[in-house]
Amino acid sequence: MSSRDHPGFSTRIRFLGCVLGTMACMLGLLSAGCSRDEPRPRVCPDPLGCIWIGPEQPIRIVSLQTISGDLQTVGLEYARSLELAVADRGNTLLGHPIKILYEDDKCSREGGLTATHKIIADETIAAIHGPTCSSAAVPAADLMSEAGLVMISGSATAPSLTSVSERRGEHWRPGFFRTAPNDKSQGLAAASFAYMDLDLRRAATIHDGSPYSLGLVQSFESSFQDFGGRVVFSGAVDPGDQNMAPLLTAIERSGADLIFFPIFPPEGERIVREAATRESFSDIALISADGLFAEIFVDAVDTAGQGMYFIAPLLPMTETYQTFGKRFEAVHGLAPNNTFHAHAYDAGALLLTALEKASAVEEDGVLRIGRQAVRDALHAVRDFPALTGNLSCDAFGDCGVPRFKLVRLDDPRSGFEALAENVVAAYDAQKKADTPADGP
Amino acid sequence: MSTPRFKLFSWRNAPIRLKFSLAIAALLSIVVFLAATGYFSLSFVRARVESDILTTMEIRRLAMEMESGLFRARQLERDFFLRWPRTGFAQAYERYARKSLEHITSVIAVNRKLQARINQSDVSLVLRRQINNLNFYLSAADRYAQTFDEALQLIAALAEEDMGLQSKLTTVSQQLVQALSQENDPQGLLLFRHAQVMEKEYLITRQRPVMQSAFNVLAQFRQAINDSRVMDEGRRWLVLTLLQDYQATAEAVLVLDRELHSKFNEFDLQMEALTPISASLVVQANQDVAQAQEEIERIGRLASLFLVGSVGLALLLAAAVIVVVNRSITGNVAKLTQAADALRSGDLSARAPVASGDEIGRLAETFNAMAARIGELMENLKDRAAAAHVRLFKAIDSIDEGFMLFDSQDRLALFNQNVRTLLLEFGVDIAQGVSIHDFITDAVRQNLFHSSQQSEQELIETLLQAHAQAQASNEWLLGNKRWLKINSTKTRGGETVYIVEDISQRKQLEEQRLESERRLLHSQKLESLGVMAGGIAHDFNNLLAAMQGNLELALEKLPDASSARSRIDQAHIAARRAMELTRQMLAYSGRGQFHIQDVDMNELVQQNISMFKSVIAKTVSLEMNLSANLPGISADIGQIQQVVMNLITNASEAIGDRPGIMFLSTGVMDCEDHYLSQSRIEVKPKPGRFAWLEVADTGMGMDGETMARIFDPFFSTKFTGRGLGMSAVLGIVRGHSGAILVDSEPGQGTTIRVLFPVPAPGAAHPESLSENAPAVVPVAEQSTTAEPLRQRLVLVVDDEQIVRELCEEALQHLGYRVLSAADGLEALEVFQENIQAIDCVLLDLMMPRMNGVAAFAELRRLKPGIRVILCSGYSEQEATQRFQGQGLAGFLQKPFRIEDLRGELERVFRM
Repeated sequence: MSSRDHPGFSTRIRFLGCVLGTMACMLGLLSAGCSRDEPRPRVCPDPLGCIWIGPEQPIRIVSLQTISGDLQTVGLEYARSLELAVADRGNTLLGHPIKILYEDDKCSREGGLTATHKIIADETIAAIHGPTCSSAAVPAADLMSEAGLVMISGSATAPSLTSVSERRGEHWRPGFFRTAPNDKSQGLAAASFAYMDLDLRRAATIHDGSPYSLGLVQSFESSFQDFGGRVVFSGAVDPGDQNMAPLLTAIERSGADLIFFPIFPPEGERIVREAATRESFSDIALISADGLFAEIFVDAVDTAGQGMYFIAPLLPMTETYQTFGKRFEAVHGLAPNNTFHAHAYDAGALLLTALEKASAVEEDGVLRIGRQAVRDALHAVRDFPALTGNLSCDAFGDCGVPRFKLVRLDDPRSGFEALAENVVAAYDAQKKADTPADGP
Repeated sequence: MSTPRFKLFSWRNAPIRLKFSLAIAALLSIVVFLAATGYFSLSFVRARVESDILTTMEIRRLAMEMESGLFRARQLERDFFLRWPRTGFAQAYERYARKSLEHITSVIAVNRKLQARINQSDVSLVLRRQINNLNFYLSAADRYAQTFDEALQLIAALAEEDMGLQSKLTTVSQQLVQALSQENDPQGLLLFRHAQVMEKEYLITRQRPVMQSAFNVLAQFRQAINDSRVMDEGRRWLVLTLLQDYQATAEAVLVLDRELHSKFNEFDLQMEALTPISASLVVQANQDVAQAQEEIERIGRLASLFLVGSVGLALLLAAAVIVVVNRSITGNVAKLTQAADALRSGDLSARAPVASGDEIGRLAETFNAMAARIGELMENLKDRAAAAHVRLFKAIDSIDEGFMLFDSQDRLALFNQNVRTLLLEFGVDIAQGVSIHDFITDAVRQNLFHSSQQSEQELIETLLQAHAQAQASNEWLLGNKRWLKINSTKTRGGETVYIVEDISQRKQLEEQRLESERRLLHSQKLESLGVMAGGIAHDFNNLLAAMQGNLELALEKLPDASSARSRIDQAHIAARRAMELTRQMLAYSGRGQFHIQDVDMNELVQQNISMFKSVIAKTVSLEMNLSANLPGISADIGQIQQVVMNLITNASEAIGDRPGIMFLSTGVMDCEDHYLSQSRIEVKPKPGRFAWLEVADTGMGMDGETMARIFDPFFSTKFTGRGLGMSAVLGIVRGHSGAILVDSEPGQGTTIRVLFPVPAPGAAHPESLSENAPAVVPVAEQSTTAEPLRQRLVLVVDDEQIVRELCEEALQHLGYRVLSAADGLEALEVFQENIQAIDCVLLDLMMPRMNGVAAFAELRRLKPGIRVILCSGYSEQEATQRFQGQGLAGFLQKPFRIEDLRGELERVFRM
């Protein structure tokens, strides 16, 4: 008799099979409950390493701007420019959503230092947009470059961040790029405006100790003296200084016919107000730079600032730029009115383009971003059509177009736009300077 | 093919001991498996738990250590910056800065340890993400230490004794003061002192504008030195050099202060960034502890699941063992038991399957053989039982009574056709399964049972209670006036048996019997009354005979002019009325005087019409309707006359003083039993032809009660009535074998019809047919001229002395010789003594010692031809019936007149 012929025997066999199967299922269940997923090892061809973005995971970009304090509106406007640039790409890059994180540089060395420490601790950060201020950019560039990141600023103009006299600046770091023009050009432009256009010969300068301010003052003094002018006073303020009378007294005694003070509010505002109280200052020209060329400053000084000069980047009034302005206002409800809003947008657009070029999609859908590849992509930018002009990045990280204008505040009540359009003189460094050096 | 068979055969035929051993071994294996599973699960859980908890706790401890270390470093750093200006750099450095740096170093070490711990352990993903923060923390702490170091260097450059800028500033300023003092330039010294004050103020406030003011003063001072005309060039150079050195040093101080200020800001920012990280680490570690606990619970649940699964698996294995054991042993035993149970329950086809060759298999074979044998034996018994069953049902169906059986749940289980037929008459249909409640409710609603005292619901409840008690026998009057007898009995099994019997016929017979008994009692009562009335009448007649005889003798002897004659006449009239009364009483009792002859009632009425009218009130008119072809009847004419008189009197009295009409009618009719059954006389005549006489009035009529008693003696609705008239009518009609019908309603008048049988043509007179007919007493023509035979001797026999003496005196008055005796025995003695002389014996009927009947027989024996005249207070018919055919010479009804005595004696002696 075969087992098939005897139902009891085959039933027992089947039953035993069921029992063993159940035991196997139990053990399988137990082992499944005990195991944990291990990340799959990946190979990165980039010498600086790679950033891995999983499928459906966002590409994380940090907007490092001054989003607190007196310059809060400035930093926020630049962050919104980045948002617009991201939005213009449909908020995605290579199929991944773009997520913007916000950090505060506090427009200071300490702020930049602390925020960057925090940023580089997160290995999923792809790049940094910012910072607002050069003082923050100095430590930030150092830390993020060390971490293999890329930072592109639309407003940090200190020459030491990139190049001074066609050589690496003191604070040059390989991961730093900017679309704002180098202040070596602005200092030259300021000296040109003072000496050539305003016919002034005795200059007093005030800096606040920040790299931006120091760099710009040094550039101005050097250029002004080169033109044949004389620097009769070099002073400084500390952040938080209230009493500007001793400083202005010293300037008054120096016999200066102009004061070049590329600093920030509120110290700049206090200087202007103090100067307005002194009759002797009616013959002394007050010239500031892009650090004070902002609506909040103009509104703050009011008539005390009447007759004051500002040096600011000269933006091409192209259709693209005007369309941008309208879209910015439509999206954010306010027209952009700070100096480097267009540069901030260009910095965002340039950064996204470089990330796109430096990225590759793995077989399993994971996005790979090469850290060095991003820097290389930025260095390779040539004639990138941007709001501020056709951008080309040099070996030091400068991508901005060095065009400036000198405006005068004739009627403080007519508004910031009127001031911006009250151009006294214009300066294009590219036409007057040599082409950038090939490399640091 | 053969291998499985061999294995199967081996298992099947293995001894039970072996099978049980294997089963227990399998169960023990299951227990071991369960224990191993539990041990593994618990060990696993413990290992995981210890690892997770310890790791997380250590992470939390390290995070807290890091946080506290940083906090302490920050405190010391602040203390340093606050205190160094007062205590001096060196002391402050030793007391605060060094310790702060040590703490920072410790924090960095802890941070690295923490990172390593997190990286090496299986902490949560969230905690692992803190690695980024820890990286930042580490770099920031490094930076903090570096910044602090830089700050210390700055402060050292600024404040170090002898070497610091501030010391240098002091030195230069002292040299300047010394130089100016030697120059004796108080103005210049004053300016410098002014600047020096501002410099000191700066060192306190660290406000750059203050130093700028000092610089402005120094500028004035420099200008003053340059403009001084008294100062020699060498000293001017020295002062200006010192002044330049002083300002440069001051500017360097400003630079250092700015940098220091930047460091302070950096400290603040770093602490601002670091504090949340360590705090969040502690929080996250706490959360991880909680998560670890959750993990423990999860693993615990998993372990529980595993254990449950193991238990389930063990249960399956146990079930498998049970199945095997069941199939091999228990199942076979159970099947054997089931087969035995089935056999015990009557399933004789039950057989135990022979599934193995072991002991149970052999037992099953034996059982099957026994079952087969029992089956054969039971087959015959079943046939017999089936036949008995059929007979029982047939018997139940064939009994006369209805049969119902309610089961223990009070549902109808069985009934026969009789009860169904009976219930269907009332529209109550029954079927098996109907409950007692529904059955009773339906029966009550269909009026099968009814009660005048109870509502429908109460009756239902009463019947249900009766059902519950059951052990009873009840008779029920049904809605259609039929009677049912319902016997109910409870069986031991709680079933209720009802036997329903239709007892309507029996009930009817019982009622008829009761009615008969009632009537018999009534007739016995009336008969007693009749006997009593007869007795009274007899005694009265004796007394009246003496009274009347004495009165007649008194009148005979009184002169015509005697004044006493009128008195005696009145007494005589009273005696006659008394005689009339006794005659009525005798008529009722049936002992009245009967002289049967052909009587034409029309003629009788017409002849006595005037007498009848005399008793009718003047206000009543009499209308007669006499049938022309009225046949004659055999009757005592006097009694018929009395009947008519009594009926008329009764009708007249019923009308009373009011005007009314009385109808007197006669007729003939053929009567059936039904008609005659309405007769008020107990004994109903046989059907036949009857002549009738009817008296109807327009009087007050009678109600039922009055009508029922109308013929009772001494019953009268009139205060003055004697109540014997209608009783006499009844007695007379009864004596003539007739019938009386009464029809009356209150206010509608009364009609009384008496019926007398019409003798068949050629039939003899009733007296010859009736046993009660009186003895024929020869009737002699009454001779008014005959003389009495004076020598004749007459023996008077009567127990009443008054009567006896009256008779002696009367006979003597009539010229007879008289002997007397007080009773029968004495009479025989006297008769024997004078047997030849005695011509006639006047013999009373009722006497003590020897009555008239016995005495007559002896007298006739002693002297067969002796003439005996019976003298009795009873009617002739009753008195003479005992002497039928014995030669009674004559009869004299008491009371009698002397003339009647003489007439009878003369008649007898003429015979």
